[in-house]
Amino acid sequence: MGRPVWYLFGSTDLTTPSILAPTIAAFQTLSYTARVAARLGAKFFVPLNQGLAYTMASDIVREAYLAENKLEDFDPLKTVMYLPAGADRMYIINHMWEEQVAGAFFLGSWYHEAVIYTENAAREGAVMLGGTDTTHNIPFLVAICDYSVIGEELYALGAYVSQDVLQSSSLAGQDVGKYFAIIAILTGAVLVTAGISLSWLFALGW
Amino acid sequence: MSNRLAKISLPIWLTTIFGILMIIEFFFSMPKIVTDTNTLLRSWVTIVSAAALILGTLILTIAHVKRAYERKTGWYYSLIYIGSFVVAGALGLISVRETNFMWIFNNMTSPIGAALYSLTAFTITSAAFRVFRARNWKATVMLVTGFIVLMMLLPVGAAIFPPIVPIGEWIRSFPSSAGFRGMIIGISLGTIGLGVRIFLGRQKEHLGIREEKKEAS
Repeated sequence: MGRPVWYLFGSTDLTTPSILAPTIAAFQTLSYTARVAARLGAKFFVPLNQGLAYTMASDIVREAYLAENKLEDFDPLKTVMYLPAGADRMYIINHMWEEQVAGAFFLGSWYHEAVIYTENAAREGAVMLGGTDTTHNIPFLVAICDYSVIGEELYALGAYVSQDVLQSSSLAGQDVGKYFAIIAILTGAVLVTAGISLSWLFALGW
Repeated sequence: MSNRLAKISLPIWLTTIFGILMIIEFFFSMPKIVTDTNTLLRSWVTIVSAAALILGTLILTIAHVKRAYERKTGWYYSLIYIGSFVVAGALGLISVRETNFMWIFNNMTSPIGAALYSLTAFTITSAAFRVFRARNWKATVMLVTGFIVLMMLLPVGAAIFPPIVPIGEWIRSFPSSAGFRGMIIGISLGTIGLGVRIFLGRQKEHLGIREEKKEAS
């Protein structure tokens, strides 16, 4: 009891499109997680190494504590902390040991840091939830984390945990889109195999 | 301006309008006014990011000053931070190309960064050991395929067992590629889904907005 929960993002450079999308998806889940942590009185810690992401996360977590009437538990300097890139690794590793992290979320765009942080959280016996869209790190997070969200599940997670009817129903709509994509892929594969080209369709200039 | 308009509606509308402006330029040829607006918006992103970096640095400095002032555990480390910040900041303000500033960067910042990175090699080794344990059949599949691909890439692998090379190549070219492509298609569709939800204002938690949930009837 009394051990903290950490919410880690990985790379958070919001000016890079491939990092922006998973980070925004992780922000959606952060809102829910921070609110649950505030409600239960759990120690919550969000370290970030990028200024823009830091200001956004800080605002999200503050609003979550405010919504649960626990604003006194929100420390603007400690709950969400800015750590300069480079120094963040050793700070996180050191404090994971020191504070004996009990739970850790690894959501967002993860590269090699995933290996470092998850290993240290695993050594402390933390329960881990991992999810990324970075394809070369998905197998690693699936293997090491107790629970994992794979690929596009990261984007659906925020809508799923919100328990909002409209958001959840949009996931059903997204699944229908997937079926259309599967049909299109299969049709394309069959047409290409049969030697039928539809390239004239794309040469119309639209 | 009502509170709801300022805190909820306006950020959502701004996200939607600017998002759509960026997307349509990618798919269609647009008039000059749209492309100019988008160029301006992209430069705003750089400025806002820089401003956020300054804000982050200020908050970090305040945290360290507070810790040093209150003599909390490890307060002397905060003093080192404050000293480094003042010296490097002052030299950087004089000129980032100035010899002293570059000396700090080349002889202190870079080696310290490299040393910190190199320390993680030990963690990565033990993480590899943890991941590649055959705890269940899924982990066993990962262990076996990882071992085959590793042996394929190592010169000693081909020397000991030559067929390991075509087997490894086959794993990389077919099951691995198929899995990755499926994953990338799924991720792309998920990104589109998230984008649509954000543009429609259905998902707004990333703006720090969380309205009470609507219960299903």
